[in-house]
Parts: sequence; C-alpha cells; structure tokens
Amino acid sequence: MSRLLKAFYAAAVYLFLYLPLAVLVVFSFNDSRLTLAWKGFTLSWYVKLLHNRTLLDAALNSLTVAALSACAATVAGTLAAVALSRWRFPGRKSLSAVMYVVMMSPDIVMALSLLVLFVSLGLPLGFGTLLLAHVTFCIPFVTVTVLSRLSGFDWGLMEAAMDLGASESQAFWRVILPLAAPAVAAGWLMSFTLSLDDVIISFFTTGPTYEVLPLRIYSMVRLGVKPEVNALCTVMIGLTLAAVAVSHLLLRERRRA
Amino acid sequence: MTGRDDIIEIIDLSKAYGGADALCGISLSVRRGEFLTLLGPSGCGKTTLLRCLAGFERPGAGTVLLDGRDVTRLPPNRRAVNTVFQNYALFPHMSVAQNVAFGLDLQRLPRAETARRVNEALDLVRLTGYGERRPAQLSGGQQQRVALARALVLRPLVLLLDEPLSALDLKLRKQMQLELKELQRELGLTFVFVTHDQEEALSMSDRVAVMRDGRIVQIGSPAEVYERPADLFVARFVGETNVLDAVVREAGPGRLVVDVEGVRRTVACGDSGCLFAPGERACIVLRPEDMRAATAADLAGDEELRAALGPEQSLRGRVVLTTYKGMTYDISVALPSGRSIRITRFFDEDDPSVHFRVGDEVAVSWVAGWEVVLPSDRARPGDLAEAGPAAGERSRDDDEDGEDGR
Repeated sequence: MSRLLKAFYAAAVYLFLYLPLAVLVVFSFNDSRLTLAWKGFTLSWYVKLLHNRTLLDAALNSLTVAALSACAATVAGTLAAVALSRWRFPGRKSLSAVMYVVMMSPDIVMALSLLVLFVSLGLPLGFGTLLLAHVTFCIPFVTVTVLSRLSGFDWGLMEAAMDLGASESQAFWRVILPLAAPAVAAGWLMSFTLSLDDVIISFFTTGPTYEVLPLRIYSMVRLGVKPEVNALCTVMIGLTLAAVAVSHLLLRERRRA
Repeated sequence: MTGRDDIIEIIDLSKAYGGADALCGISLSVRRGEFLTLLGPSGCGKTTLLRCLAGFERPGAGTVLLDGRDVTRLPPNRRAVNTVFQNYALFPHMSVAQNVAFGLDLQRLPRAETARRVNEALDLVRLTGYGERRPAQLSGGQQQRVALARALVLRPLVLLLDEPLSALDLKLRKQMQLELKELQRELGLTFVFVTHDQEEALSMSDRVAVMRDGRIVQIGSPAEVYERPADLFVARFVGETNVLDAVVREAGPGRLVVDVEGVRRTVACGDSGCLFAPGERACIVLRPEDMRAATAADLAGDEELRAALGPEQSLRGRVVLTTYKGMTYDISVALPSGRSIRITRFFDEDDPSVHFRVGDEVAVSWVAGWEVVLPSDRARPGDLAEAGPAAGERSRDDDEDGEDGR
C-alpha cells in the first residue's frame, strides 16, 4: 500500500516537473497553426525553423554570449574563490558578502543599475554591454560553487608543490585547478545556462544591433506563439539533456579513476 | 665563518607571530650528513624553525645559509631542500608515480630519465610496483613512504621531516624509525627531523636540539642530553625523571655535600660545583633506572645490598604503586616529604618476580655519581605545568610510558 503511495507520489512530482516540457515537445510536432488541438504528426515546424534566419541568428547570438560570458565568469570567479579561501586580507569578508548581494539582488535592479552605468559611461548598448552584464551576474555563481569545493582544501598541498620546486602559478595549474575542476566545470555550466535564458538583464543591456533568443521569442510570442518556437525549444531541451548526460558521465569517469 | 662540514648555518634567527615570539635568536649549525632532531613540546618553535629552513616562513631577523649560500629570502621552490610533511600532503589526483615524478617534471627532465628515477625512488622506499595506485588506496605507512620518495627523488641537500611518524601506530612507527635511520645512513643525507617524541629523538638522532619557548635549551648527542641535561626542563622533557629538592651544606671542587629528604649525601656535580654556595637550594635529578630500592627483608639477607643501601645514605619511603611493563617493572615510592619518586627495575634471572608490594617500607638510594645536580632557581614556576601536557602526549603515543607521577 505504502509502496503504491510512494510510486504515486513520485509520479506526481515528475509529472509536475516535466509535463510542461512534454506538452511543448508534443506541440512542436503538431500539424496545426493553432496549438491547442492535435492534428497529426509533422516535422514542418523544424523545417520552417531552419529557414527562419532571424530566429537562428538570435539563437547563435545567445549561444555566443553564453559561451563567452561563461568562460570569462569562470576565470574571474575561480580566481576570486581561490583568493577568498587561501588568503586573509582586508576587505575579504565584505568581498564575499558582495558576491551574495549580486547573486540575490532582483534581476530588475541589476538590469537597471547596469543600464544606468553603461549609459552614463556613454557605452553604446549592444554585444559589448550585454557580455559585460552577463559576466557580472555570472561571476558570483562560479565563485560560490568553487568556494564550496575549496572549503576544507588542504593548502599544505600548495606548500608541498612549492617545496618540490613549483612556482605559485605552476602549483595553481598542477594542483589547485585539477582538484577544483569539477566545481569549475559546474560553475561554467551554471553560467552558461543562466546567461542563455536571461531575459530581464538582457532586455535592458543590449541594443537593437544584437538580439538574443529569449528577447526574440518574447517579441514573437506577443503576436501569438508560433510552432517554430516550440521546435526551437525542443531542440534546446535536447541539447540540455545531452549536456547533463555528458557532465554526468565525466564526473563518474573521474570518480572511478 | 661557515665550516666546510656545515651544510646549514642558522645565525640569530628570530620570528614573531602577532607580537608573540616564535623564535628568539636561534643559532644552529647542521653538519653535513648528520641526523639532527629538533625536540620540544608543542609551541616551542621547532616546526617554525623547520618552516624557515624550507622557506614557508620569512624570519623577522637573522640568516639561513644553505651550503654556504644565503637563502633567507628565497622562496621554497628555489631551495635545494625538500620536506616530508606531517600529513604527507600527497596529491590525491595523481598516482603514486605521478606524485614522485612531480618535482622531476617541473625540472623538465627527459621522460626516460624521470621514469628511471621514479622507479629508483620507489625501490628505495620498498614500494616497487605501487606506481599506478592512488594515494587513497595506500595505508598510512605506505603513504609515508611515497612522501619520502617524492622528496628524496630530487636529491636535496637536506631532507626536512616535520613529525612524519606521528600519524602512525606504535608498531609501524618503530619500524619506520629504523627504516628512516637506515635510509639516512645509506644515502649519507642530512636529515633535520622535528618531533615531540623524546624516545624517537633519542633513538634516531646523531644530535638532539631541545627547544623551548623559541630557544634552543640544549644541543648535544642523545646520551649527553639524557645523561647531562642542561636544566630541569630538559631533564623532565627527555625521559623519565625524579627531581629531589636538596640544600647545599658544603661545596667543594666537583662535589657537594647536600641534605636531601633528611639524608646527608655527597654528590658529584662536575664543573658546576663552584656555582653553589652553602645554604643554597639545588635539585638532584635522577633517572628511574639509576635508582635502587630494597625492603628490610632484602637488606637482612644481602651484605652487598646493605652496603649500598645503608641507613646513612638511603631515603625511606613506602611503595604506593607497582606497574608491570613486560621487560621492566616500575615502583612508585612516596617519600616522607610527600614527594613521589619512580624506580625502574629490570627483571633478571635471579629475581623474576615483582616482590615489592604496595605498602612495603623500602630503602631507596642510587649509585653515587649518577645524579645530576641543577640549580633550583633556574626552574621557573611554569615548568611543571608545561611539562605536564608534553608528558601526557608521550604516554598517549607510547604505551610503555604509563602513568607518571609529575
């Protein structure tokens, strides 16, 4: 009895989480403009998607910004985490507090303050400002992830490396980075997804010259949901699942080694 | 100024942490090829001194010469010394062979040369064939050997060892002590070894430097430190000790007449005899194994014993505790003054049983000339309190120590 109850409960949880995604995937194959009724299977929306240049350009822009900002945030965030956990310096506490403030502050506040900053600096809104904004809000996520991995890190290993002839940077590359690698990778993935689906901050910090996918979809949806969007989202779900599977495999490989 | 035989010369080295002195003007020479131990209780500065040699600490003042070259300001990666750390500090993400090869890789040696030297080093510490394993798959003793191989493979001028055996259990520790000593002799390498375990220090070292409060209190061969302690701290820290209070009655060259526990005895005091004036207080330091005890029944049956333990030269006491230790047994004797002393006897063929019983009245004495006389005013009030935890540590590490009456 209780087994049945547990199974039911688990099913309800999965349904709750994945039903919206399933609906989206199903409708991306629906042969109907009006998305509410099933009219038969088709791949035509995917074909349409392939010919929708603006949508594909926006997707490419999003991926570019996501990849670049994830890389930049990972470098800066990892270095910050190493500094915060290794050294005791004046302002250390407030620096780590600021990280959390940036992480917790509402997107709209971040968005407005970045906009005000860029405008007052006279920077033209576009790719550059968008990238800067994304790097800014991604850094704390990387730092916090890597910091938790480095808490309880044996800094004696660093001394051992230097004792054996390594310089500070050699010790970093050969000892700290390999040991922190899973957290660094997790930080990169987190930054990538955060950047990819950000709407509010992107809305305020990019200009007409550089359109990203969430904003493109947003403006399309205002005129009614087009099934191509469903198709595009299905592709992205597929990519996400693949990424999760790969990272899972990589982590398991590492544990076995 | 540096002798050709000195591989390390430390001149007037000082280091302070937040106002507290960790090292106060240490000067010390380490001879080429010797096994030097820095011995002292926790907080005495021995590890700080070692870290100054390795380059992890910048001394506030003073100079460290390594093979005649000033290395005081050099970072650890530019000193030809290597360290075996207390917790081994093996790189967990590398195999044993990669750990050992770490320093060689940094020197960009040819692959074949690196592989050859790694295998050599693993052979040396008897870990042949363990190269592919991860440190986590090894026992504590094996990890210890990897740490040793990793440091030795670079052929350092001096090997620094920071309490490397403290994490091992007693049996393994004894075995590693022997192996380390053998290795050191075989390689002719200079070892600077830090420990708080006096037994370890005595059994392995060519010289022992006893440290306290950032200073070296005494430096000498294990026998010198044990038999001729420079002060009460050394006497109490190195080995088991009985300390008796005495008052000087007559002072002559090399000998003193003292009143100790109600008995008048003549004691030898080497060259320091002239330091005492009649009426002054002194401390008589006696090792438990140098003391003798006998019951009235023993004395009645043995002419020789009567001569050694006659009433005019023996202290009177009552046995309060007997401790069986396998090869030896200890008795604790309470003297009339309330002081408790400890006497160690070896079992011998003539007398295989513990014949002292708690409550026995015994005569206690020692072989004249085996005592050490120290001025009592040099002992500061903190002595007892500080010797306490260190003694406790030793008995925890080493079951043979048992309970001591300090």
